[in-house]
Amino acid sequence: MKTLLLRRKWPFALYLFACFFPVINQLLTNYALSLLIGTATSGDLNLFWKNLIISFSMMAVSSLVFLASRFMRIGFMRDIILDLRQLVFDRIQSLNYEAFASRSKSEYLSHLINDINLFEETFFHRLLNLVFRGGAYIASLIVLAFYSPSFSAIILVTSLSVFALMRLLERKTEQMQVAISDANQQVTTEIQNTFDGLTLLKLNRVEGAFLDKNLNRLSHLEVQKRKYNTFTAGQRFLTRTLNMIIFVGILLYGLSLLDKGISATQMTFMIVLANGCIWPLEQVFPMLNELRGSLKIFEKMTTFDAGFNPLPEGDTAFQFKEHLTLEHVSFNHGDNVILRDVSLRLEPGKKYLIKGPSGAGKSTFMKLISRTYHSFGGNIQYDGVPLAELNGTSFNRHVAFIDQDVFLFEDTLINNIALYHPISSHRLEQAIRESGLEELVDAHELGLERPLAENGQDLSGGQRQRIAIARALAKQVDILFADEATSSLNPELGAQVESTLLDLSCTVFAVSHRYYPGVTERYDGVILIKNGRVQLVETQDYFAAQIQGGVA
Amino acid sequence: MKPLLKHKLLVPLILSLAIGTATLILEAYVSIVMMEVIDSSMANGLSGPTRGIIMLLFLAALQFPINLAMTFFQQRYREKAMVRIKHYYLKQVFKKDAAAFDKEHSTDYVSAMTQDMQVIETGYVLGIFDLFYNGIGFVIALALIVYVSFWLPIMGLVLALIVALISTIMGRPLKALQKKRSTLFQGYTAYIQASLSAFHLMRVNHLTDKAKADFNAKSQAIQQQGFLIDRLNTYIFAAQNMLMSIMMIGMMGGATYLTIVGAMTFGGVVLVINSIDRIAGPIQILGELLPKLTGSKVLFEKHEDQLKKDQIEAQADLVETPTFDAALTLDNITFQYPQTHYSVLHNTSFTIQPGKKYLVLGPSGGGKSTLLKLLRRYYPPSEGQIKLDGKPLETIHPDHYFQLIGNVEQQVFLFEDTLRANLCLYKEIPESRLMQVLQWAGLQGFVSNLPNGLDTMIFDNGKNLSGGERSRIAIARALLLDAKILLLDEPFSSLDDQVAKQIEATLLALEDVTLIHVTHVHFESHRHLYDQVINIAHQKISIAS
Repeated sequence: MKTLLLRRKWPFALYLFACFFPVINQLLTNYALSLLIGTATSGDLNLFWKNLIISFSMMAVSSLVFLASRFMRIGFMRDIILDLRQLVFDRIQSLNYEAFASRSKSEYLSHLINDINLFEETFFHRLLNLVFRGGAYIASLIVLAFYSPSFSAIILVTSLSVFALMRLLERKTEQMQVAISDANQQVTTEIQNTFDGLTLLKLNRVEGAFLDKNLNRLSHLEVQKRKYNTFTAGQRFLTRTLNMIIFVGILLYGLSLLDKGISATQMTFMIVLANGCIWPLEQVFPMLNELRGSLKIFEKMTTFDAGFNPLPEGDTAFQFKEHLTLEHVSFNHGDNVILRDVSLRLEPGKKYLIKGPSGAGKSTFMKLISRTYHSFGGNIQYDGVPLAELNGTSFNRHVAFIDQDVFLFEDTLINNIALYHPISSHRLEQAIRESGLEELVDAHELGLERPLAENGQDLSGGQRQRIAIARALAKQVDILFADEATSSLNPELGAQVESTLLDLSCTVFAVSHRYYPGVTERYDGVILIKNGRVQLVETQDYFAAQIQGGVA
Repeated sequence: MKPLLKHKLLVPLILSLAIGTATLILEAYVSIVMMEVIDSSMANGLSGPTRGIIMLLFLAALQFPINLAMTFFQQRYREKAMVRIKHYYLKQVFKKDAAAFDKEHSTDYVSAMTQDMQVIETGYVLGIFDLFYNGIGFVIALALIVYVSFWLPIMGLVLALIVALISTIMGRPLKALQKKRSTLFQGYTAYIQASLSAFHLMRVNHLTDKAKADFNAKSQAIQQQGFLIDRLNTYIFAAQNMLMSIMMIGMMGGATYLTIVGAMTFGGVVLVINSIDRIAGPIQILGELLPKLTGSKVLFEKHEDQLKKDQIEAQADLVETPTFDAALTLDNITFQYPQTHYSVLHNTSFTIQPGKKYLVLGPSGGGKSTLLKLLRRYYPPSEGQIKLDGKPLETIHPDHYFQLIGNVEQQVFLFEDTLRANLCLYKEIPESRLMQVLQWAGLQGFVSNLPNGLDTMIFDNGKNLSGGERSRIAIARALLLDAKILLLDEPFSSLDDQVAKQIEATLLALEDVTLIHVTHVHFESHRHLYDQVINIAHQKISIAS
């Protein structure tokens, strides 16, 4: 938080400065009132009119002060929250994939939305009030001391005693505020998930159970809010009662001074100032608590990447001209051993088919060699350079992915293929042709410029997959990682695409359970993963064994 | 939506306001006692008002429990109101039919449930309480001043009216700004969702900077909009402040003048001072409240409109117990997706008979998935009718129609609960049947390897499961539904051939179940086990040889 504020040092200083303005207004107002009241016992009408005019002018000044103060503040508030949004988003974007994937997306969503909103609402309002009332407190004590140092001291001691009492309730408020933020996050996550799957829920006729679950969560959240609000209100009322009793004491003291002969103006001003010292306390302390609470929320949403292995980054450029070697590589997911003691030597330009029973670790294997997961044991090297020493940017430029889940941007078809990178129309046409996308392009009057709906909802599974394939083909790479690239395509098109992939000059790693007669045999080798072990098998041998086992 | 807020909510609201009134009256009484104490001691020295002082202390202590009681009921009211509104909103969203949900952004709904509800809570629900509480406080403070002197209140009232008028006038441009902010927020939320889903993709293609730039642009737009709202508010507040100050000085001046000419006492002046705060305070709060109240009204309207769209028609005369004894027919169906100019199916017919097994083939995008969508009632056919035992689908109650159908999707939806819950979907299933289905779906090996078996929790849409495992869960789930018609959409695309063949054989052997299997991949050896193999291509449904 401090760094955020320090980045905008001068605007923040201005903001704090502006927060003091209301103090000036308060002193002006109090003095103006005291002036008027003082003339009440004097019986002098001329003095009254003079003081009335002075009072009105003071009020005019006070209005201008108010305007100035506010304008100095709102710009700063806007900018800080903007900074905060960017900070949280950047934080998320800076996570490596392992760290990112360990949390659900709804959690991130809650940080970026709920937490920032909560922070925006509480932080500035509380800070302003804190500065204003704190400033008024100190200013009043100082002015009081001019009139009567002992009285000022008594007021100081009294108000501090009350403060100490309130301290005890502080921690509870903080806890409750964080608890509410967590509960809010949970509710948002649940609702998000439910909405995402509502269509399927209805189809499976469980929407009732989900509706009830969410309704219960919502009710529970509101109950928590009620308890929190009641608690903080209770804090305020307690303070107020105490202060009322104190006020009675002040009043008596003031009246006793009158007996000793001070002017009514002075007495009024002193009483009003003393008042000014004690009444704000009832709000300062709960506000301080809430301010601390909002800082905790700030902490929560900006430091969530603790505890993960940093992605090692080197500066060697990526090169794959000789071999990819794995030496005694192992990988665990929590307590599960996925891969154990894998040693393998693979060559560039070859096409490898990755096979194995479902859940054996095929996708995991690909994630390791593609530098997506980085917390593994053992050694993985491209041309003798360990992954940890590679320059990430260089690596990413030379590889492409085709995934089972295709993500499409709500943008034009061409942007989804070229991914906002410049591409020659020749290569684009080739990619479209080889992935079988021509039909889709021609079907719409805008062709390549056709807009896709949110996540390509209006396209079939096969069409989306072809876009993913086109995407990968459009990027000229050294290695293509394909995870079930043809699973949504019919056999003819699937065979065609598989053949295209096998004709590419780059290295291809493909996970696929499809068998295309005459095409699939062209893979240079099969990487077989079973029970955590990996072996490289000759394509012929693999399929011979399979045919014996009875493939269609 | 607003009629909701009556009935049971009135009780805590009224109770809290009643107790609130009691606290306000108590405060007023304290002022009066104080006035008497001051006057008495100015006349007779400090010894005069001893009893009055004790009374003051007692009343001060009394205020604490009473205020707490007021808050108790106020919060009860707030809680009930918000629960009711949120529940209503959620239920209405759930009532939307499946097709509508595909089109709209689910993030819009989330945005409404989080952002807009917050505004409604502070601006409307609590706003109503604040309105009455401050209104009552204003009246009581006014009454107090009248008790002391009667011409001052008139001045107060006039000023109060002017302030309220100014607030209402300035409220209108404020409304427009707030609506724009709400819309911007929706776009913002949708963008965040998208970029989170595309994390890996963006990382590998160096689009992270673009993502940050886009995000920053949207954030800036939102913050700027908030700034404009704040700026407008500043002018409104400044005007109110000034009026307040003038009123305050005016009244004090008036009270002082009266004291000088002997029409009031000094104690009375003190009382007036205290009461001014209690008049000025509410006026200011009311001034700020009115724009907030109207602002949240806008939100109510916006949401009412959104919720009303695409609701499932609750027609009274819908068939509740449809049968499937004879045939499910598609009669001369033509279908075109909204906003396209191409008919995926054109003037084609087909009959599905109970208990038979159908294999549906055809080129990608040719209409196979469309057939399923029509059978699932996502969309009505553009022309022609679909009839179940002679009754058109539109006349059959959707819930009861869906009871006949089980589905297996390509993208399997798993929710955050146990594996058992994901399989049984909260229905009571005898253990033996569950075991049998697990066997048919090829899942027992997987389940017995799990440390907690069927009670293992599944998180984040089954991220930690492989494609094959998820497919098999989907198949098991559909089988457990005991549906009469099973609609399978590429159920085996993530499975090894061996496993796929086993499961397909099991499905084909089920009696009394109609199977409609849409796929690209089929096993030649099983082809003859289907009663019919149909082809959907070139806008027609035809029977393959």
